[in-house]
Parts: sequence; C-alpha cells; structure tokens
Amino acid sequence: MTKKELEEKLHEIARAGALAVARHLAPELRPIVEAYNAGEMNLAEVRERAAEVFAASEAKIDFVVKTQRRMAQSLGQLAAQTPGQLRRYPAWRLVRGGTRKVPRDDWDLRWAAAGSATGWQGACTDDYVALKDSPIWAALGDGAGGYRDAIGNPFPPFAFGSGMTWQRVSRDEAESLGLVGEGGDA
Amino acid sequence: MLDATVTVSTPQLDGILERCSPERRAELHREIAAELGETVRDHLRDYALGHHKTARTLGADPTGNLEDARVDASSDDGGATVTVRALGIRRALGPLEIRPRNGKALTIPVAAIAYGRSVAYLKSHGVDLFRPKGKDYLAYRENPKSQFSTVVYLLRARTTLKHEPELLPDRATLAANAAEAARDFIMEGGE
Repeated sequence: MTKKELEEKLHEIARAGALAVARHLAPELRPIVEAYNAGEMNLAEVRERAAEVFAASEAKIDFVVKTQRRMAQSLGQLAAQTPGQLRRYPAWRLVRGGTRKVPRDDWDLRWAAAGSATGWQGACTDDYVALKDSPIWAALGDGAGGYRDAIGNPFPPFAFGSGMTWQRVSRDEAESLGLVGEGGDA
Repeated sequence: MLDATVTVSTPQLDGILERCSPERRAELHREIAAELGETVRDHLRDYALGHHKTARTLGADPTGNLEDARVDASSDDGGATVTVRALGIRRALGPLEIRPRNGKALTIPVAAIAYGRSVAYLKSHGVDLFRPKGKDYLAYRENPKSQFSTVVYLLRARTTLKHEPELLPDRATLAANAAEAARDFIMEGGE
C-alpha cells in the first residue's frame, strides 16, 4: 500500500466514522450535543461530559459536537427563510464564519468543481455567490471534484471541520452579479 | 439564551397592523423575525471573527461560542422573537455576574491547556493539578521533579463580565431592518 493509498484509506475511515457519528449521533452524546446547541453548556463542559460517556479523542469529540452545532446553525438559517427574505436576499455568499489555525485553501477549486458539475446554474463563476436554490450548494456538499471530506448536506458546513458559512446577498448585489434580472424573479 | 425586546412603532405601521387580520399580522411578524434573525446572525459572525482575544492571548484555539451560536426566529400574531443560544450573550445587555454552577469556585483559564477544558477533564487526562497552600490558583508541573509550576486556572468566587453592547446589533439597526422588512411585506401586498 502506497502512502497515498494509506492516506485515502485513513480519510475514508475518518469520513465514514465521522459521518456515522454526526448523522447517527451516539445516544450517549445526544443530550450533550443538544445542551451545547441550546447554549446551555460550554465547550469545556461538553468535553468533560462527553469524555465520560464516549471513548474518543478530544479532537473527535470536538469534531462531532462542532459539526452538529454548525449544522443546527444552518438549519436554523434555512428554517428562517420567508418569501420576503427570498425576495430581498435571493442569494448566499460562501464566507469564512469561523477561524481556523490552518484554513483550507482549496475553496476556489471546490467552487469551480461544483459549478462545473451543475453547469453554473444560478451561480457566479468568479465569486462564491449563488442563488439560494442553486444546485451548486448540493454539489459542494457532495464533494463535487472528488473531495472526500464533504459531509453530504446542501448547507454549511460543506466539509468536515470547515469554518465556511453562508452570508446573505441582497437583490441589488445579485442583480449586479447577473444572478437575477432587474426587478425580476430569482 | 437572551431575551430582549425591540419595539418598532410608527403611526403608519401601527395603523396597518390595526387593520391586519391576526393571520396577516402573524405573517408580518414572521417576516420581521426572519429579518432580525439574519441581522443578528450576520452581526455575531462578523463580531466573533474579530474577537478571539482570550484564545489569542493564551495561544489556544477559539471555542467558537459566538460564531457557531444558534439563532432562532419565531413569531405569532403578537410579535416576533429572536433567540440567541450562546453562553454569556447576556453581557450584551449589561454586566454579567458569573458564579460557579458546580464546584466551589470559578476556574478561569490563564493557560492554553485550560482554555475550553475543565479541571475534571484535565485531571482525567493525567494533568496533575494542585492548589498551592494559601493561593487562589491551580497549577501543575510539566516536569514532576521541577520546582517550577505553571499557573493554569485562577480561582474566583465570582466574576463579572463587562457590558459588551457591541455583541449584538444596536437597537437602531434592528429597528431599521425590522421596518424595512415590514415595508417590503406591505409593498408586496402582504397587508
């Protein structure tokens, strides 16, 4: 086995494992994640409680609970979409929403791959902006281009450990970017 | 969680609200709640990105308490509510006194190893914390044979977080954005 194959195998194990935990959260972690998402517990308490019931490294526990929290954040954002919001803010921009010691530097490649995979429907080629219903979001989440750390959701975080999130884009800006016609529907 | 009330009231808006059926009023409030939720979410993200002072000072990773905070918007025919679910967010409204929930003292991290980690957690991971006699801190020795120790936590009966109004958008911004959402709702025939 080459180092590349080993790396891929480890990535696959990590991805499959984290997916299993994140999507089918271990029952013993569920109340901890819920309390963390509800702002009733800080990260120190989360780590302490989780370590008592879940045999995993701190990095893995952080990974699981923070991914869950970011997913909950995005779901809250999606749930808050209204006709008025969609009219006045028809698009999202992918922006850095969380600091990282070593941020990924391949978002331009991911964006290009997801755009190509979806024919750039409702998406800008030169800015991380796309209509809220653009298929590019699902393609990003599916790891278009072969990114094996993708989570599989059409909402942030699109990749494990990612600090990238959505920022709404106004209709005026979406018009200037050519995503919507002047005064027309998105 | 945080409870705060922002009242948006103009003669024109109040007149419209009076003429609205409860169902229409609920729709309008839903638009306002969504707008305020997004306003708060955008603000928290931008604020948090520029404020990791404690983590940076200690050379630790930020915990993401604010930037990952869940913001929920809800409404009914009586009003709109935005809920921010982040510990300590209440200091946006005024000084926040914190007392220990468990234990006898607050443990305030002053070393990277302690940031985002509890005393029990560090002990369970083999960090031999001790409290020097007569001192109000916990320390540990990286080398057990060394006479030098590193202060890890300060012990306090209580502490007060200073008022940080900039944690949330100011009331004028909230009111203006709420009014804009209401105006759009009315212009688009939602009245």
